[in-house]
Amino acid sequence: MDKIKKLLTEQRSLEAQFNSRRHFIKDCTLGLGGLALGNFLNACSPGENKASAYMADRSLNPMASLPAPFLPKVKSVIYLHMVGAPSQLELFDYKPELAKLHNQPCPPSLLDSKKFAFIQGVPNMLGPQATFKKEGESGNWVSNHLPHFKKVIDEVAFLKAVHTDQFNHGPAQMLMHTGSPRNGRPSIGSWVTYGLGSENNNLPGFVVLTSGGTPDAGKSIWGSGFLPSVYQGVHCRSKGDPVLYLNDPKGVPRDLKKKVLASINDINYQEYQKFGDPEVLTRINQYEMAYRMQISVPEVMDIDQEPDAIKEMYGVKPGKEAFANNCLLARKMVEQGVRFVQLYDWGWDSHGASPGEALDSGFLRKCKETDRPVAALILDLKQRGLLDETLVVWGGEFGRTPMWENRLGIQNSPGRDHQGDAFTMWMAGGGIKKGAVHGKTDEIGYSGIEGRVSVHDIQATILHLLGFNHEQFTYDFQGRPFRLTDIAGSVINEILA
Amino acid sequence: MDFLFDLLGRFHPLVVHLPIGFLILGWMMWVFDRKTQKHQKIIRFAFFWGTLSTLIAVFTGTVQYVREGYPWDDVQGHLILGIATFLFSFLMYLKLKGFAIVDRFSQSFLGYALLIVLFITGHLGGNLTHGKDHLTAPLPDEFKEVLGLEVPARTLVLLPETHQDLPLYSGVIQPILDQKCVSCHNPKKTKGELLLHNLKGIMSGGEEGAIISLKKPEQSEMLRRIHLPKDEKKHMPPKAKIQLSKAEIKLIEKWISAGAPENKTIADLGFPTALFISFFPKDETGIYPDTILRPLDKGIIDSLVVMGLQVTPIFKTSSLVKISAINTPDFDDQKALVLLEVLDHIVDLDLGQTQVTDAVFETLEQLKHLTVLKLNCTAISGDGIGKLSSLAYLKQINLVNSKFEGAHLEEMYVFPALEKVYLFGTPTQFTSIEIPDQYQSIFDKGDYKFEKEVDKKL
Repeated sequence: MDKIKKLLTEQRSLEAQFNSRRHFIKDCTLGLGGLALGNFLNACSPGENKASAYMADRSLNPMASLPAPFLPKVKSVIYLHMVGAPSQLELFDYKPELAKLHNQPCPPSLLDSKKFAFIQGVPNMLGPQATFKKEGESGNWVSNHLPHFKKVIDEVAFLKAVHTDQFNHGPAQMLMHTGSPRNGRPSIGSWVTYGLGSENNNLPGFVVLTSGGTPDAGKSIWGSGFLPSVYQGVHCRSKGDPVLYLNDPKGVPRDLKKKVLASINDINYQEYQKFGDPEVLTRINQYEMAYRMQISVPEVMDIDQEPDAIKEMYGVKPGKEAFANNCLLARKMVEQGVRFVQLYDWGWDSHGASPGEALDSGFLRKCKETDRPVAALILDLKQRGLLDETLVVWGGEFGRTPMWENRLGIQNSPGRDHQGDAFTMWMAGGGIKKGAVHGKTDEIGYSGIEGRVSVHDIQATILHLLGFNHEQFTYDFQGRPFRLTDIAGSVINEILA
Repeated sequence: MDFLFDLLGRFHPLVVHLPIGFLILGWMMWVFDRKTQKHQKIIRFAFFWGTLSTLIAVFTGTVQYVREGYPWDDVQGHLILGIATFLFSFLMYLKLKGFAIVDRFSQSFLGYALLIVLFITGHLGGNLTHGKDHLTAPLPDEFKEVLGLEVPARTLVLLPETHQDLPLYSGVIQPILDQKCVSCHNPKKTKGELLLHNLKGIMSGGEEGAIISLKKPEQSEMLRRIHLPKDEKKHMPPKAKIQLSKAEIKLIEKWISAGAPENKTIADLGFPTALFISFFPKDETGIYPDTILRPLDKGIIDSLVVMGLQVTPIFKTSSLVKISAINTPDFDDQKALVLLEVLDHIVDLDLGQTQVTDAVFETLEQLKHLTVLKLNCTAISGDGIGKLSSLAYLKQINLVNSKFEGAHLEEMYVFPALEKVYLFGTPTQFTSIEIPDQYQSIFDKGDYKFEKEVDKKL
């Protein structure tokens, strides 16, 4: 019976989603009068008290803050995704054996039954295009391309044998952020804001900042899937106005705007009471949020007001779209109680087919653009007492081959193909064991031989740190409960403090 | 007509209550009447019916024993003492009647012996129907240990600090087996001829041979059985019983692979702590006190929420709350008085970016469970922060970008639980006050910078 009931509710809510406008007009021949009445009533609706109580009620405000099922270690997440998949072999996974094999033909045994995106025939091996040093008290390896990172290396726990079963960017990014390589699932930030809401009523709970370009998988990797769309990531522009049309048109005073919105929302709320469609709530909420964001967003997004020392620390580029600016914004957002900040930095697809994606040029530029801001972000969070309650995750969607990519049989500038069997990610912040290393790859960094962790393990761990059991955190859709981690994943205890 | 015997036998549990009642009543009257000897007749009456009903009880009991296949070992005490009860009560009756053949027994001997035998018989009978541990089960474990009783296996708990010093076998593996396997593989009940209550038993295996192979550890029968699908008949523990957890299986595997050593400690074997994490005590409240309070009234929470405060339990089922003023930038010392309505419940308080001043310390000092306090971006100068020294749980104070002055630093040295104070962006950052070595790690002035040479190189 329960199941049937659930299916019926779901069906009704879907129907409502498709039919709302028609229903509104059809059913509101009487309602039009009410509409006008609503406006009158609204004009004399009293002020603040009602609003703050309303903000805390989940049935009215889908973003109201909720407690986690278990004691969380962190309250916010900053996820740094290096779009295109950075080469672990030039950053963290030091393989001296690979240097000895440089430019020698790859043994066929490594190619058997393997699928590559571009490698054809028998490629040559490519030695590490970097020098490595043990840094910090932990003595963990880091390459010369990340000179600033050594200052924070003791804050970080490395996962050296992450694996994924996707070898193309789009599906791999989807898997990393939604738990499934195909469209339609909510992203991790949506799950988290659905589960915990957000603390700051004036800012979105899930913010997305991009630099370099849009990720290959498109906006669906911060989409809300089957969750109400209020939980999708809000993509802020990092250049110019952070949110378009943020300013009121000339001649429209703010209090008039407030009245207009209040009327619209009242009508929408009647609609919601009639059909129970969560999308109506989403719409109401977005009008409200947009109104409040007109004040709060310009303030938070304005990095010019930061002290010079901080701007210098991150290496920000005022007025430009830059990963450094986004890192500073991420800190400001977390400071203001934003739940999930997702940064995407595009341009790490180092095939070597052109200078822009070669390990000896484009890749070096990406390292330079991100090394300082990432280290600065961690230090800045730390000195503000925020690192203990924030989780910082760094990674790509997969790793890169120890072989030199030979697209169309031609060996170009040094570059590597896609490789999902072993790559490096790291986490830092609350609940993370500082300086830990989990997982080990073989002599050439081709696959994990110890401590292999899957994409779902990473998601389970992130949810764990936020106070969820990933197996119990579900949402009913199409007659069955869905999880972020699908039917897999286990918490990586080895990197937890 | 056999069923009549079965039926008769089944009346035993009912019938036994008659002699117990009759005989105890008779005995009480006998004691009561010893001096005056006025009621001998009625006492004899009680013992007559007592004896007769004992006989019936013995008869029905024996029938039940014979017909329903109770093992002799279990019933022998009850049966023999039941007959003894009959004998003593019969002799008592004869004594009261004044028969000479019972002259050699004194009346007191018969009376007291009867009572003792009656009690023991009744107790043994009770054990048969309700189980041997009927009376001991409710006792606390400490009592049981004193009484030398078997303490039921508790779930295995290891401590993060000491687990490395435990011998793997006796400290971890055997307790796991005790919990999940020994109930069917012990000297009393030995399914499959296999004993798992000690190392000797484990090593000698069962009716199908060894269960542990030291040569090919991964092919050990024990592991094969554990890994069989749950629905297979040979899967162990059987489907209906409590299953081994993933962590337990992993440890058993590791132990067998290491050659099933008896005395090697976890540290000797070099097993990582990660293998044991699931056995550590659950730390539900983390840095916060593990106090359990009456949950807050919805009305009180609402009155705070109306002010724009955010009131969230630290986790769903906790009565402790975290309060944040992030949405009420105009929150001030006067409004802070409202916190006193929930003063015991607040463990985490975020008053950052509000109008509070040093006067707020008078309110804060009453929040006795306060653990994390945020006063960043406020006009706090620290005057009066010493008042918080009475807070036994206060661990973190965030004063970033406040007006906190170095002169008040030393007031915090005496805070009992203080672990971290963030002072970045305060005037303190630039004072020359020397913080004593032992407190250095508590106070973080921030202002981290990259070394200059790194910048130059690029």
